[in-house]
Amino acid sequence: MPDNLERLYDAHAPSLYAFLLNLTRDDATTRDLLQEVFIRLARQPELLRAARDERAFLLRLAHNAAIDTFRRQSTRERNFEAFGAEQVGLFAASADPDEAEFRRQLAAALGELPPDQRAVVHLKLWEGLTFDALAELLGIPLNTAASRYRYGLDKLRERLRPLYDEIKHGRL
Amino acid sequence: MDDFEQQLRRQALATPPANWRAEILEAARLASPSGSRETGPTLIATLREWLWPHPAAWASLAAIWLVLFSVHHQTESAIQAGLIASRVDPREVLEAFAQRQHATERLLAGLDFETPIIDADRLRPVHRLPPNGPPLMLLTT
Repeated sequence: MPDNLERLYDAHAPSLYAFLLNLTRDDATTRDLLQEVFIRLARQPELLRAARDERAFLLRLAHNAAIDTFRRQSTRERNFEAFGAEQVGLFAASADPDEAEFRRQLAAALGELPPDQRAVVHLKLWEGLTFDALAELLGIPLNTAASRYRYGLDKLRERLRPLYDEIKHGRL
Repeated sequence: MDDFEQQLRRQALATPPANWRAEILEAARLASPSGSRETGPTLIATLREWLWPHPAAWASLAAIWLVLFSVHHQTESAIQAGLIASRVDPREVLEAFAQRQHATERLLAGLDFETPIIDADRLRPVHRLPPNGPPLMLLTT
């Protein structure tokens, strides 16, 4: 096992977990995919040596593994779109009831997005990637990455606007 | 980023369950080229992990094998018992053979096997012409 596998897990597993969970909307599938990523790293430690950005490289590995899983499962009863409908604990628990409700509705709204928009929104918002990095990671044109983000964000804004306004004005 | 995006970005994401770390790293260790060469308890653990998900299936298979083995054992015992019961004492066979041979000898002794006497004169060839007479051609001319 590569000596730095534990370091890699501690540094990147939370991000990979959240990204995979947002994509798959399923805990068991997320675990399998996360394990698949680390098994691949253990088998081919040389993979990371050529990577300029560890996090981006691992996110790409995770994304590719998820896509492969979607393709395999699309022939069965569950399909790519059905994953989005699952209710998952995507966000950390919050003691603030307003914030907890916002997180619950945000997770549900993300689940309503098409998976390609969901991936872009997640990587832009919670990984802070630029559109250039996003496009390279997902293997899509820059304009496509930007438009997917815009469409996805608009849908979230529309879906969450009432609750967002209520929270915003309540705090003001 | 506008306020809404900032608001979304502030939401803390969940972290993976703590027990996943050890499990995933152990799986990765086993999958690594150096880890896969280890044997002993690791191999047993792997087999257990592979077999355990379906204990009922394995138990059923074991039960079927036990039934087949018992049926096979009982059938074999029955066949052997039949062979033992039908086995004849060799001394009886020899005695019966000797009796039959004796009876055959007595039967053969009672038969007349005299060789018939053949008259030598009857075997001599018969000549139509006298042995010292002229040839047949000369008689016709």
